[in-house]
Amino acid sequence: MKKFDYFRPQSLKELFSIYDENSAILAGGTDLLVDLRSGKKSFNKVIDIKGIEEFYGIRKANAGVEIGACETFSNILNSKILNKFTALKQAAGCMGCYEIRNRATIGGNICNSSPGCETGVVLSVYEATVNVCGKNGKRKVPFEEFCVGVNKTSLKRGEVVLSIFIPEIKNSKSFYSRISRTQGMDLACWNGAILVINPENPRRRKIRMSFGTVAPTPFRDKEVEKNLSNKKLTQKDIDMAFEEICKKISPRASSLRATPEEKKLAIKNFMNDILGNLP
Amino acid sequence: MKHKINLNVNGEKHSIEVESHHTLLYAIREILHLTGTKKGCGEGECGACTVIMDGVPVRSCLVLAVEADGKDITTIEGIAKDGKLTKVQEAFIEAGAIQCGFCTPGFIVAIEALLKKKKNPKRSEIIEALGGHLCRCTGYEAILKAIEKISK
Repeated sequence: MKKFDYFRPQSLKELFSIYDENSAILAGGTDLLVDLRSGKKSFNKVIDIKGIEEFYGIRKANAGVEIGACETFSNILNSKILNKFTALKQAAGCMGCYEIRNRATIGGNICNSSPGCETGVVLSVYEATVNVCGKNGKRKVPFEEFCVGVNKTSLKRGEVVLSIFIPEIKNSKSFYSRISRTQGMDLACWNGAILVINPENPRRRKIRMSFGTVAPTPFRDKEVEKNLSNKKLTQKDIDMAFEEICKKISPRASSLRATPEEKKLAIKNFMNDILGNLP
Repeated sequence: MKHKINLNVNGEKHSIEVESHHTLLYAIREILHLTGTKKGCGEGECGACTVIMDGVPVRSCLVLAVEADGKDITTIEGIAKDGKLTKVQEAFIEAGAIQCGFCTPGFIVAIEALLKKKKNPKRSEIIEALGGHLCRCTGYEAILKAIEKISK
């Protein structure tokens, strides 16, 4: 591994006094250390933010929950406050493996912004907000504006993710699905999340769907969602929505994860499983 | 950049000097010379380097040594007390759950951590805890049998 200097600031003020363009933020390290070792990334400074209390906490906040950026997937899985967020729990439960979940953080997961990152599709359907902090203050970024490309976020130079806010949507159900090559530890070859608001009442029902690894960032099509909402669904509605999605997604044929056909089939199966079983 | 760190490894206090880019795995093997912890893939995929840090199993290849300052670490050398093998280790031998043995320290450490958390884990919980451990010899069944035998 190429040499770097390691810092462990104890406050945000100290963090921003040393954070510059040649620094990497270290949270769980399960992506960063792999990239530093392979030479994919190199930095003069590695700044470990785990000593700063503002990055912690899973708490109820303003009609929702707020999760500190340094909270691990294991903490998310074990948090009772998050019990209603089924898709988030499902995604957290299949991320990496047990030892990885003990270290990997939700903040790191979204900042790495992999097209198949476990929380991407989930935060996308929950319409989460990313609380960002920089030297000059804080700002809120809607999650759909946060991931802007493969391993690219809309964080400005010198900014870090403080926490993620997920609104609690009353009378809703959320679902997560993924395919991977092995049942043990593996990357998601494809993943998806569906949120259904008022599932038992077709006329007042809203559908949100997000799919990973089929575009550089989690893919949502609000037009398709609108066509699936506020009505009792027929198989034809679901098939038409699927066809529409297939026209717009761009899964790469050269992807190591799965072929475009496999990813499309996964979307179809997931939609049929969830939407096909709604009353 | 050098850092002086304090570690409690297998109940023994150590004060060592590490570079920023040294991993905990490097410190355990190359500085403390505890070579029971193995380096497999070096990128968190195989589980051979698993150690227990403050009660929680982690991949020591994905932790910087300097991050472990002040932590309690248990490696495979710290599992058997006073030269007496644990039930898990005995069960591995009995069930033939070891062939080349390279992955074994990672498996044993992970299972010991699991059993501390849950005395009688179900098969599905054992599989969950070991999901990130690769073994190319045994086909896993002997390993699962060994653990199931002692957790009943």
